[in-house]
Amino acid sequence: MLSQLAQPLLSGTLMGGVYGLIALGLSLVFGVMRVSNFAHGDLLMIAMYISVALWEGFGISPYVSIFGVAIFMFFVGVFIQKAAITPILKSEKERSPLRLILFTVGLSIFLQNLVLMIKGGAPVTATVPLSTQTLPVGDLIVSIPRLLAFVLSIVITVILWFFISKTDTGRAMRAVSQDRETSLLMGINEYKTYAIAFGIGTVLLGLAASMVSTFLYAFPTMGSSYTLRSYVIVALGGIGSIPGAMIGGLVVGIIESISAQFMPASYSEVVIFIIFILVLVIKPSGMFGKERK
Amino acid sequence: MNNNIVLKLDQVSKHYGGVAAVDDVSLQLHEGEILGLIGPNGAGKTTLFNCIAGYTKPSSGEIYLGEKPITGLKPHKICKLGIGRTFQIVQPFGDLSVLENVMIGAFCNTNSMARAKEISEEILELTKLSHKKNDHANSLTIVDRKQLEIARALATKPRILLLDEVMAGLNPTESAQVSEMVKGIRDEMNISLLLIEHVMSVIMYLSDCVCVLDHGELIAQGCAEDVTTDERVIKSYLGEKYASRNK
Amino acid sequence: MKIKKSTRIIILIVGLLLLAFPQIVQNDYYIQTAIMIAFFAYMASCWNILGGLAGQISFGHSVYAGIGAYTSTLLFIYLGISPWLGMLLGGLLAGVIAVLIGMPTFRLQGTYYTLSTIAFLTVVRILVLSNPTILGLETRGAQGMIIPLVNGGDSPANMQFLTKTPIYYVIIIMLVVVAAITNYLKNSKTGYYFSAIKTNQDAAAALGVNVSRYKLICAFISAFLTALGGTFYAQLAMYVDPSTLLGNEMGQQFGIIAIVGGRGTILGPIIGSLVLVPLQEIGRALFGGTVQGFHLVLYGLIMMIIVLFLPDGLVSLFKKLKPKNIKKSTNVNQLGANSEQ
Ligand SMILES: Nc1ncnc2c1ncn2[C@@H]1O[C@H](COP(=O)(O)OP(=O)(O)O)[C@@H](O)[C@H]1O
Ligand SMILES: [Mg+2]
Repeated sequence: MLSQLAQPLLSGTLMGGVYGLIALGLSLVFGVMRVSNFAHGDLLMIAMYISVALWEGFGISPYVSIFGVAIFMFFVGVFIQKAAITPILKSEKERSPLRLILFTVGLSIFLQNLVLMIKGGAPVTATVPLSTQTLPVGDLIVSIPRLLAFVLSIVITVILWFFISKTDTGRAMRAVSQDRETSLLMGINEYKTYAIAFGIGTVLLGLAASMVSTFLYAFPTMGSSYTLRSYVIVALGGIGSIPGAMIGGLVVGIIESISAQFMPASYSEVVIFIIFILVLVIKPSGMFGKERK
Repeated sequence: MNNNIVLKLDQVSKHYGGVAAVDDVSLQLHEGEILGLIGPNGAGKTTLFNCIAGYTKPSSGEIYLGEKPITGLKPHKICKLGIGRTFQIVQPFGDLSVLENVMIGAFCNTNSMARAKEISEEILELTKLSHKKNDHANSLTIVDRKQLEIARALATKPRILLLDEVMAGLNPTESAQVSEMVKGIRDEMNISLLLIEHVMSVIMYLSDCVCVLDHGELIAQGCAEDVTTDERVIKSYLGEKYASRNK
Repeated sequence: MKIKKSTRIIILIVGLLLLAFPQIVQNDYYIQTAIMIAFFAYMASCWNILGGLAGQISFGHSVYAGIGAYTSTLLFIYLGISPWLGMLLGGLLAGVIAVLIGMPTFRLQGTYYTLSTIAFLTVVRILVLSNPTILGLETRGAQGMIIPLVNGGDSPANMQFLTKTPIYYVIIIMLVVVAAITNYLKNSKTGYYFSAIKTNQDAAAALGVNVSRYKLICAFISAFLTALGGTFYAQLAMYVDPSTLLGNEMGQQFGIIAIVGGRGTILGPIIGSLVLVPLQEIGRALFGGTVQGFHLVLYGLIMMIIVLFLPDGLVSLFKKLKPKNIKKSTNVNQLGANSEQ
């Protein structure tokens, strides 16, 4: 029994680290701005398609294009922030206006169907030489690209944690997330801080997308399940908490991969939903730490 | 003012994490009384209101409306029992007109549109907002919005009204205007008031008694003149001013 | 209720035109298109009761359409219950489920409710897709169920019609009913409470509004009416399947149409449907069936543009023409100047 669970436990942990990284971007944006981004998973999808296209079209491995994709995604994030989110925030009085939910849902529908229209619905992936490499550890098999993605996710998380806690920009982000009014008095440029937070969020998506594009399939509608999963992780780990996102990611990854042993693969979203409802029922507001206006 | 106690707080505390935002506060509000609640920023005044009005559950202690314990009841229940409140940051229903805003409050005691409209128009007459009843709430000036906030709470027919810094952001003329209104509420509608206020002259003018909070603790209580000469009170205020100058 | 004389005349003229429409055009394709426009206007109006009046945004509302369609169809196949009755039972079931879903999620910030609606739709779809039976009743998974014909499809008592015209009248009546319900709500205590909840829950609670109770009431009404539309759709196609009714696309469309047309208004969902549904037809005419997703790309784009630049939807274009509202907007400008101080 134990040996039967060891493999899914391992795979779940590896995948969970990547989930954590993906959720981290959302956590940051949600934490700093209280902005709901329903296009989070779709931006991941876009970045994966770019990685795959670079590999298929030009033979550039995702492990090489990763920085290019990340930088591109940064500008995508800053653009969305400046063109849409900031204007909406400026014109509404509430901190997280309904219009932002509506806008990002519109963006999500747009991106999903744009890709569907251009590339069709068939799943794509970048099959690089490393994609199929494995490493036997005792009875277990470790997929090398997954291991790599896990390790990089942890490294990136540590770097980000360092950035948030030690730099002025990071401090400004924390200040804005805690108390908008005081931070304004302290002379922090609120909207610039938001743009940076959103940009970092999309950079993290670009990094994650490049790494997973060698072993996961991208398809136009994949985004919604990643958006939901990321929100579950954020609710579990606490809004804006960096270690929380990683721990939440690991929990979700492990639960998913172990439950996949007992039910059909298509049920993974059912499992996420059950976790989601459980989190909401058991700790309706507490999981997000302090809820403040 | 007579000696009936309408609201009683018995050793109420509220902790956030390790911080005691309200620390073991006991106080009483008498029928027809205006009780001032003062204290520096972050003293726990708003938190105390939130405890009374059901927005947060006290960590310990009991709150009584008359004889009835109301600790931990939901905000709408507490409103129905007769406690109205305003918010430090005014929260109008911006899409609705002034009249409609007040009607939301009036629906507390009636299901009929016509009756709610009637109640609201009376209240708007009293609060001198009648001429603006069809304006959008978002288009009001700050003083009108504060008055609307009070009008809305009055429409629920409260026995007790909690006012959180209604004078903040008003100039002296406006502040005097609102003060008169508050006095009128007590004298004509026989409502007891708990009043958070920073402007000392307003407190001196309006309140019968004053409570002073500092770091969540009730450090002084008594009639307005006595309290303002109390050494601890002066210290906590001077301390605050000093601190804010050095920010 | 105060309805101005001019408004009454307009309503009368539009009503007569709607009644006479099938006789005027005498063309199945146009009647079919009109049915689809009215259907989406109906569904968007149901969505609007929850999303527009009370501000609780659902992008999985088609789940209630699915529940309605499956319930009435199963009742018809297994027990011979007419869909006219089955649709009400489906509506009740959908309403109860909406309340159960709302209870844990309505307590939270709006984001989590919206997420739960998308998640719940996905879960129900997966369950229906991957199981041949539900509660022991044969639902045939992805294949879907064909509704058996009675008397060769000529059985009004079982909501089966040989021609499009009676179907057209059914959906027009449903649309009028939902518009009347919306109008009633907007002018009642319940509707006032919904709009208070939409703008500020804390302030609403301070005025005695039982916020979660009213949200649940609203979710019930909206889900109930949506389920009726689901049965209608099933009887129109004489077929129920999970990928259409329980699809993401359907779930998104109801919301998009109401948002583009104008949230919280009676006319908004109707205008939204008049504008957006024909786009599907145009897409089909341009690309045939070869390009997937074309109209949804447009929907997404239009939705973003509307939310950014015309947050009150297309209806607000008409309202802006009225002088009364010009005065309002100058007031808002003055407010801007005040808050700068
Ligand atoms: N929801 C909350 N979570 C955590 N701390 C809070 C919360 N609300 C208030 N506090 C803290 O409680 C203290 C008292 O705040 P408050 O009641 O707003 O003070 P006042 O109204 O007297 O200015 C402050 O230190 C504040 O930071
Ligand atoms: Mg305060």
